[in-house]
Amino acid sequence: MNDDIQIDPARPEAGPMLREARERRGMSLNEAADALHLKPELIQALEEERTEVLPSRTFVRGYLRNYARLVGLDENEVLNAYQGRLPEEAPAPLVGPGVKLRRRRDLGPWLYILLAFIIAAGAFYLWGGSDNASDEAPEAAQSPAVTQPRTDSPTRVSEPVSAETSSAIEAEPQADVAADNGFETTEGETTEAGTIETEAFAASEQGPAATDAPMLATPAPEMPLPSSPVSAPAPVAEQAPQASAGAPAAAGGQLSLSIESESWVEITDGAGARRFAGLVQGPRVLTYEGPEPFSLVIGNAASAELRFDGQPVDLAPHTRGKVARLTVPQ
Amino acid sequence: MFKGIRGLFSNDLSIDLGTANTIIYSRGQGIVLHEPSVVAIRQDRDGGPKSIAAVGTDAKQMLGRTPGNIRAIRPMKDGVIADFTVTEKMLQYFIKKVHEARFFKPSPRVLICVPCGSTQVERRAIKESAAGAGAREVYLIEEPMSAAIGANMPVDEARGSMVLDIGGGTSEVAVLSLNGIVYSASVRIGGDRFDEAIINYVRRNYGILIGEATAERIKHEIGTAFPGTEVHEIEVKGRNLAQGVPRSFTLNSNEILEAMQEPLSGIVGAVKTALEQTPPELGADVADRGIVLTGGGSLLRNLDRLLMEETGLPVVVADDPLTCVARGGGRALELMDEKGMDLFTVE
Repeated sequence: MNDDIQIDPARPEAGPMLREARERRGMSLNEAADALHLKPELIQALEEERTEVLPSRTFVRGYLRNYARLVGLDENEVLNAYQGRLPEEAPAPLVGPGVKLRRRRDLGPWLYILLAFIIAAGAFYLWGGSDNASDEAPEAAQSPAVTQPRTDSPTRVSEPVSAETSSAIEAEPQADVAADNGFETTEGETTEAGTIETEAFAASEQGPAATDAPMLATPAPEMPLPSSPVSAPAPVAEQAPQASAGAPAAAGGQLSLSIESESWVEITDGAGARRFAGLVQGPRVLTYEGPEPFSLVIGNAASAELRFDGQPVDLAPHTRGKVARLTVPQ
Repeated sequence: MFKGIRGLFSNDLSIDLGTANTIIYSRGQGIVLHEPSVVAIRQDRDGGPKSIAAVGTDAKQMLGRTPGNIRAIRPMKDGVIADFTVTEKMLQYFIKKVHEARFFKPSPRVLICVPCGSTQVERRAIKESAAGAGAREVYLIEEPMSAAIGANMPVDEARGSMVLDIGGGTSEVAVLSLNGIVYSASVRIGGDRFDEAIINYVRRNYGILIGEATAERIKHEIGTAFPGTEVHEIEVKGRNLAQGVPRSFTLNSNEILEAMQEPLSGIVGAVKTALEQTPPELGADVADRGIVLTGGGSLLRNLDRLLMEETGLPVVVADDPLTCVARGGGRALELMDEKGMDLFTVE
């Protein structure tokens, strides 16, 4: 098109050419307009090459052809002369508003189905998976109802002697103290969190009362009972020692996992219960007791240190890439 | 199953499967085939196997000049399929031809233009014959829509555009706005009817029988739809019915105009009916800009003049009117891909 414009001066002017031919035939503007069934203004615009008032290219080319024929000029000559002056237009876009709507309507049902599925999956994960990894307070508040039948089911819970119970309780504070020592340098809050973990996993089927108990009881760990009434009604508190009594009965070793920096951790105990699954932020120690063997997945093996029954476990042989997958004891 | 794989080696095609000519537009290549819709079939003995002797231009030259064992037929009649098997074979041949020098059997996506007056059964027949010819997917588009897109008319605007597509078998007139057809009508009058009218006229007035090919030549050379200032003449030969021997005689353009009066008034009538049926706003738009003619029939001399005088509206002939439909179909295919829409498909 640019080329056409450059050649223009050498080329005959189409508009004046048409006008001259018309005048030579003694035809007025109105006569020409009548013969072509066009408005006189349109004929004038053609002669003056005012393309902005003319309709689209297809029509203008047609008008020019008809006009040229009317005044006895060669059609192609006129069209060629006019070529560069016609606006070069892109082919019609052909996208009406209805088109897009229709497309969206096609997609709609699938989008809703997908959305519903995602919501269902999310709900299942939240409610279905909550009783395993119960380190969140609001969730834990619901768990007594769920945990009640569980504590009942193993008959050995009632059997253990009270001495064992106390030993188990004594074992916990030790772990707490260890955790405390380890995190004194960092934050008080994380220590608390660590404590909750410790307690929660010492007896997996504990209720919220029990979960709360050691947190408040940290200054006096050997006395979980007195602290429990503070946070929970009495019947639940009664279960706490019972449940914690179950832990040693399962004859599980103690697993202690300290995480230095962010890592995904998943711990399943020998009974197949998922004890912990989630992203552990920052320095934190996870301690569990329960039925052996534990199977672990540690996302960032480099930042983790694992001890089982006080013995360090080397993660290197189980590590592939950054992820360590192992079962202890082997 | 392998069609999808073969599709990788095929082009998308837009086919104007016309009564007289088949035009194929290939995406990214333009018009790749333009041949008459004629097939010559050879059958050496009665009840024996049939084989294709020629398709397209070669077959057209055989029309009316074949020996007993060859039949040259036009499988399309009035814009729709008259002979299903032969149409399928013809399409197969054409599709293969535009994929020359390919190792794989072509399996293109195909968009075919159908007359807007065609019935469901006729459309299905076209769809199936294209599928039988190896098309992977078949889309159908109404001819006036495709013609308007091919003529580069502003069909997407909220403004009426009237298009008149005169083909070999049918003439379609439609008013379009906002990518949709507001009014459409199809009359079974086209180039073939002009030829027929000329044959009948010559037989009646001269007592001489001429063939279709001669009639078509007369139409191309001196045919006119509106009395012009100059009169053209042509010398043709035909068989004198009374004497039974070939005779030469001369025809002039005014006689041909007279001969074609009937089909011409049929087309004018269709346009007038369309204008009557068009909603007033759209009718005003059409009166403002005019009617666009496409299709081979619009090449008939002074047809636009005739319509202009009869309707009092401006009438323009599109650029390259013969290929408008196929080009418009190609553009529609591109749009379908770009926008992922099936706006133009009709079942």
